[in-house]
Amino acid sequence: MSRFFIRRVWHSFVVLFVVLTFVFIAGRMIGDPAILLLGPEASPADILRVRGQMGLEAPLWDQYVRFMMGAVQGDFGTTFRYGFAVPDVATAGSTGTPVLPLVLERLPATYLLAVTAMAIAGSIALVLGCLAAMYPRSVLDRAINVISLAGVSTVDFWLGFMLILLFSVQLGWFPTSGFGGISFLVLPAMTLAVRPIGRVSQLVRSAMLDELSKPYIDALRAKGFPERRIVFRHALKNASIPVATMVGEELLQIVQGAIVVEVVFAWPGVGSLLVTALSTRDLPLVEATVFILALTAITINLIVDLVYTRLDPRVRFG
Amino acid sequence: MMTAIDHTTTDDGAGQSPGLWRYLRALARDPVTLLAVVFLIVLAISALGAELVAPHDPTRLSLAMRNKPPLSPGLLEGVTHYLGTDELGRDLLSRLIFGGRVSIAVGLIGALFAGVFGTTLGLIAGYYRGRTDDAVMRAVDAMAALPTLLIALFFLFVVGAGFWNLVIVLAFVRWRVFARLTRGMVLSLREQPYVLAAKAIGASDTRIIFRHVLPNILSPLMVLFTLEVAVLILAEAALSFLGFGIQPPDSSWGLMIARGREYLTSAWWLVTLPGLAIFLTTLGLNLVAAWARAITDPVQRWRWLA
Repeated sequence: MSRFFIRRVWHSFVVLFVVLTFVFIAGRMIGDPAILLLGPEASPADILRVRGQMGLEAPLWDQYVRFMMGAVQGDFGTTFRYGFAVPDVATAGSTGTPVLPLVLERLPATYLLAVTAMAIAGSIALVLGCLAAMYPRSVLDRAINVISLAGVSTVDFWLGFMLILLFSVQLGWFPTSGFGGISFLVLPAMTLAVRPIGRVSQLVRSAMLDELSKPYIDALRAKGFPERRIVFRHALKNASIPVATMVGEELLQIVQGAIVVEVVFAWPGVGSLLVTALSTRDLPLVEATVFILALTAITINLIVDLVYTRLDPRVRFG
Repeated sequence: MMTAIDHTTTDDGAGQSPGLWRYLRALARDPVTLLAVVFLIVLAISALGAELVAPHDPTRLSLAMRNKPPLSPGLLEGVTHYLGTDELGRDLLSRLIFGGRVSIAVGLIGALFAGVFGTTLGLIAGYYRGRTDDAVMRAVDAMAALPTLLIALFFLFVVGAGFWNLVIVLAFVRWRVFARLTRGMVLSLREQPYVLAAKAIGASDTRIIFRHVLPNILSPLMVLFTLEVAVLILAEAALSFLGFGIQPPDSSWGLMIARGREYLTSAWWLVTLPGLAIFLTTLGLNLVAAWARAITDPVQRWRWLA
């Protein structure tokens, strides 16, 4: 366990290191950060001053080390644009908001959305998958198959607009966008849940079919157990192991879907912050957001792998 | 002695690869998939011959005809805008046909690049094992640990938006899927007796890979390719919607949704119809892929081709 654990954590660190290196290289590739900060009309004197402040006159290697050291300490610098009405040349480079707290502040909203979507998707997919597996090759099974394929094919952000049209504009049940009580959460969470429902229900179906064909199920049937109890008590418990491995993958997919869906619903999460940062070319904010999202994804993967080795001892010794 | 085998009478031949007509007959008995195939064919024709199929010039503006609902009569006698017009009075059906050409092209070309690159690396990694294998699989694992859309957005931020940048970035984020599948299959094939036999009689590695390994993994790869086209069309839509994919004056389904967003409540068709086009296309591709997987699977095949 511990050797596996150490190797797995080490791999995560390597990936994170590579991500940060890419982020640094990219940051230097898109042009002079000083010009990015001041705008193309800035005077050479201002640019030179800001370059000095930002440490851009130092050798690239030195900048890289300082960037990495900063990242490790959670220091990604201050925003270029975010929180300013107009960037002020005189004070540029020293007055922005530190970016990492900005990103962290947005994190709970994204997590809330992702976890809610996952819970909705998980419970619906479990029911659909079990029903399909109980009556394989029936009309119900075929219908659920088409439903799950439709789920997989959904354009999630477009579905968001459709839900807004129906439930907010026509029926007035939920607010169109923003952040607040549970009513704000319903539509974005439902939007994000649809694609995972498609994928997970197919997985549940095949895992359940596998399980239901095993001898112990026949034994239970022979003993006269009610079918519903066999399916939901006995088979589902064992089928949940392969399904559990998908949870991490699905959470990743949801986090990635959240980037777009948050924009649709003006949800104040990390995804919408990333899009704002990218489209305003706010370099420090881009760096910090990409870092935090990558860290989130890597952590999810790590946790799932470690939990899985607990659930299924075969992985640990295999 | 060998001439005794007649290859023309294999109608009932269990284990034989079934002919085209048997696939067609199986298709005819599966109405949902048949519908998907017909839809995709119509789509392909309209994308290829957009200039001939589109009822109007997709770029012709008409301020008098802004945001007209579907089935509105045009300014001229006998002209109908079947799917309405957009915020600049351009015919929506024509724009959907031309925008679809771009969306489908991104999906197809992107998946082709990803497929060729990923399959090549997967073949090399799986066949030669060793250090190359380690390096390729490290890269695959590292990229799989990160959300695809995040990597794509970040790289588009660096290299800039546009059709070819989009295609290359999408191929770059998805090659890993082909590499992993190919490698896994090659790993089991390279120990097969017929591959060992080919090796024993002195066949070169290239010959073994292209004559003995690749043909045997082609059908799962084709299924994956179909699925990936759908994935890339969805990714294109998301990226263009966010403003990092296709840029005006070009258009794609995703960009059309972004542009119609402002008019969501006043002109519902501007967002609804492009999204519906993407949905039906990806659904069609997914249905065909699911069918193709069932029919090329030796365990399941007999049910469909019986």
